[in-house]
Amino acid sequence: MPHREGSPAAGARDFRVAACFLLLGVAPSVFLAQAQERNRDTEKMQAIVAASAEQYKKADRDYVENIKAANPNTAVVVVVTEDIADAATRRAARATLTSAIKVTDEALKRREHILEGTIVRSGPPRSTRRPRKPPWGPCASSPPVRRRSRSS
Amino acid sequence: MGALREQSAGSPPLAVQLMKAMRAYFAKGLEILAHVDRHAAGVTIREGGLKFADKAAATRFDKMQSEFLALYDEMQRLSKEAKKAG
Repeated sequence: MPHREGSPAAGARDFRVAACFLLLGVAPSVFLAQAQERNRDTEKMQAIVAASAEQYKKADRDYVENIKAANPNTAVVVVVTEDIADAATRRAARATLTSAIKVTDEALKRREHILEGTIVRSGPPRSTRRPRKPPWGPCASSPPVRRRSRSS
Repeated sequence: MGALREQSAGSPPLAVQLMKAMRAYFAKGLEILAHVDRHAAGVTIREGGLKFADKAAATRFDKMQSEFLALYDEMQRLSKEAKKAG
């Protein structure tokens, strides 16, 4: 039986049509958009991790070079042998070990910087991100801020 | 992407552990050198080893030497692990 325009039955039918449109038309496109965003996030993350891994490798290679240059082995030998009794030898060993510690501290700091850079570039954790607005309208949970009317 | 932050909050990577172990080893070496400096007046070489006039200083020196060797062992262990991990 055909419904008359403006009748409650016609309103219910319009609502069902709108619901079907949302379910079949909008929801899949939203899902696809979110999937695409996830893919982009994953690709971005992979690129950041690869870049960081390269930076770490370079930092480690540099550390090996620098610690070889500092040559702490000679100082270590002084510490465990009777050579330690000689004041001049002790002085030289102290300078070498201080230099080796400085090189190690710099390497640790560099690693920390790489890690910090990676975290900054990868963005905040997903759980702390602001939710995206739905494409069909403003977020209902955040009503527009009303401006105070000037009264004077 | 928060996973990266969570990962970084766990135990540090092997390379960092090794660097920290090396740092501790070098620092202990410096500590031993400083100890001998402080008691240099009472130090002699006898029977191929260091002898301290002060008994407490000798005991402290022996303790620091064994700590130094323990740190060396730890460094070696981490170094082997790092080599295994590539």
